Amino acid sequence: MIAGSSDAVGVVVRRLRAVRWRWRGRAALIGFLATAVVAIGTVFAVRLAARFVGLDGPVVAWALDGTLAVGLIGVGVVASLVVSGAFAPSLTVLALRADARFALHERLTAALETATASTEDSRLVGALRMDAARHAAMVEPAVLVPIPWRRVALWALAPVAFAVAMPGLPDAEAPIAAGRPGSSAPVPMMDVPIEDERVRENVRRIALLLNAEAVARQDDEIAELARTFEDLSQRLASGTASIADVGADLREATDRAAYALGLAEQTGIRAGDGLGDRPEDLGGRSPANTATRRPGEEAPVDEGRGFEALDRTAGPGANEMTLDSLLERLEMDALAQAAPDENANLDDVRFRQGQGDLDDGTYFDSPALQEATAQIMDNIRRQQDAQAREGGTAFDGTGRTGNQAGGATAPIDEGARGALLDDEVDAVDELLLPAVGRPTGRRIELHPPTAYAADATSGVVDDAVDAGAWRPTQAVAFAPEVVSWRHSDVIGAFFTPAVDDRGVADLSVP
Amino acid sequence: MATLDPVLAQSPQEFNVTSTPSAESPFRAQVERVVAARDAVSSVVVGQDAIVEQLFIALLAGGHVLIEGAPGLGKTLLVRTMATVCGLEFSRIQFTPDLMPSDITGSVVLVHDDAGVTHPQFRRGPIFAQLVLTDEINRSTPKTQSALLEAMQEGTVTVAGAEHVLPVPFVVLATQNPIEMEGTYQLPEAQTDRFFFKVQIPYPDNAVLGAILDLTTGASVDVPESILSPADLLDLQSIVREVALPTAVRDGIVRFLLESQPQRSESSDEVRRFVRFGVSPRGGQTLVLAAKARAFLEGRFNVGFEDVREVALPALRHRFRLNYDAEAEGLTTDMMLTELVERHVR
Repeated sequence: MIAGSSDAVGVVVRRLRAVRWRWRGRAALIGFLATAVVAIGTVFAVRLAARFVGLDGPVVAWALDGTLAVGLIGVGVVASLVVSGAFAPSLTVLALRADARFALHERLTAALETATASTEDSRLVGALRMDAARHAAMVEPAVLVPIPWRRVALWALAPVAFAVAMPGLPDAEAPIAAGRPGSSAPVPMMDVPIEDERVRENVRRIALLLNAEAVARQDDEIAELARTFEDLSQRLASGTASIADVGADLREATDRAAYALGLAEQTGIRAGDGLGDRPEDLGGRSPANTATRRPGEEAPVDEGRGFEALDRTAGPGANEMTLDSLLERLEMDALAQAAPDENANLDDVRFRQGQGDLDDGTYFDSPALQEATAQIMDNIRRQQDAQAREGGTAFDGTGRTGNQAGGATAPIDEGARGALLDDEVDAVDELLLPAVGRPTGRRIELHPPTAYAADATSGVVDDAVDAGAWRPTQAVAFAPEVVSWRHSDVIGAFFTPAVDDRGVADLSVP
Repeated sequence: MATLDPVLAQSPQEFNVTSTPSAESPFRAQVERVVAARDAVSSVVVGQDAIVEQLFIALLAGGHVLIEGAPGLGKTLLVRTMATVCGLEFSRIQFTPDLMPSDITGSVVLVHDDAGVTHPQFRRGPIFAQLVLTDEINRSTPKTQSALLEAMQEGTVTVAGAEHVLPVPFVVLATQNPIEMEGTYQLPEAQTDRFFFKVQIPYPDNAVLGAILDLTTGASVDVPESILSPADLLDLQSIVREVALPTAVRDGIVRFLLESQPQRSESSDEVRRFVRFGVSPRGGQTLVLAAKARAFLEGRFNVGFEDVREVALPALRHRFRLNYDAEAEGLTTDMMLTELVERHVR
């Protein structure tokens, strides 16, 4: 109950303040919704721009989105509060609006003015205040400051829909896949998990292949790379790291593997690029110009052009060795080691490659293979003896010098290969050349480029081939002394997952 | 002013506003009496509620009214009924072309006292009344008109060098025929400005006309009782002046007054083109006072925009003149005033 005219003014003021609070709430709500909608647009725009400038990856995208959305909405909320507080209408203005809206004939306005003006001497002030207080009860804040809830709900749908759709928005593709052909196009949403799974599987296979390659070559560097890939594979498999997290490590390991395996020149340096033609086009020139220099190894000859080759393989314009191409090369090597390729010039040799045979071991236990292997071993032993006599220089089957490939590897030329294979293959029905290491730590590699420098029948080797030159391995490698059942594990590991898919079936010679 | 904290601590639903006798009841009672008087007049003068209300507004504001209408529309009945209801001394002056000022104010005559001595004595004219009806004021000459207007302005008359104070309250209700009728003299603007209101009595419509015929041609005619007294009227006039005028309403009136001046560059093109002269400050005063009186009559103690709009035409139509261009365009004073008021007083 209002006893005095001053209290009556308080009723009016209290009512008008309630109206002002509602106005502030509406302003803050509208401001928040508007800011949320702006934030959505900005997040989309920034994410789009980030893809163009290369800020890619799901972590980057989420961090960007989250920061922008939270920041913008926060700024919007603060701005709304500031605006609703600083620009809220005065009580006088609200009184005028209430008078007009509820047909109060400026009762509230006049009563409010009596609270601030010195009108106490008027006999009507008290009556005026009481009259205004009585009519103030008619003022409904919800009517005076309506909130369009239906429109607000429609506007609120935008941020809600965005929040729901955020997880399904296209993330940036994994860095490891960025170099793949056609990867500039956005990756469809459904491809992301498939792509990740493919990369994880590739890493696992590369680790296996590198392990086998390290054993075969007895190469510590490759073994270390194999361990690196194994570690990455385990991290990916365990879920402790995403593909984006290990992207840089994968890329570095892939590059190192390319160098260690001598594949760099095959991807970065192509024929006709100024470094020299293909070996078959070299004529009488030294094939050393085509060689790739190992890290830490001195340049053999034509140093300037050799360095140029290295620079170009690592330069921005060079063809980078991607994970896929590395795996492809490793698998091709494994294939070549398991079965001779066309470059091996072994058309007259009937290779056999069959998983069933490898699995059951019947092939490796065949007397014909054991006989052929014994013959090959004998030839190699003779070659090693000759090499020992010549102070480390490799000899072919006739005792002539060949090319020395690396310190730990003693390759033989085509002449040696001819002596080793061509003469002996007739004794066996089928021959399998698995890529496995030998207990001696040596590895016999056949180099087709030097086949032109050596006479396969006479075993004469071109002396122009510099000793110590590192030449690419393009031919099959085999371990003649240990071709047996236990190596089927390694071979099986290479091809067991999907033999048909890799076209191996086409290469098999029954 | 007492602190508002106890009030503000309560929720709006907890307010139970009741008027206290000391604050509101006396004024409420007076309002009710005025309203009762108005209703009493309206019950006699059928169909002229708006006119009756305007007359009461002028009465509460202490202003004189110029009533314009054709003969036979009940102007005299209206004024006479008002005088009765308000308890005012009534006087009626029929203006004619040969009416002299002394016929209004009175004159000095020689009288013989009981001792047989002859001496001059002022004999008061019909102007000495509290409610004076001057019928057909525009039928007299300007000289006579000015004598009346002097009394209206000053509240006194001077005869033979002696000043005589008119009774209070003093209200003149002048009627005039439309100026196009023969034998009329149009009142000068300076003189019409002295009238608080200029009320136009329209011709009654079908229903009202029937009611008038029924009421005035019967065997008996109801005579209203006196509801107010001159003292009540004086008190009400002082109370009306205390009605609050909100700043927003006052500012709207000021804007309207300035807008009505054609010489101002800020005025609209219409005003500069059609208005001969705008509303004077006295017109503004009249507007505010009339709005206050109307608010009080409506039971409020503050002026609202609607009050100003409602009294604008009777208060200003005789203070606001249009030029010949406006007449040529078919514009009327009421049309222009309505537009300007609606534009600014809101």
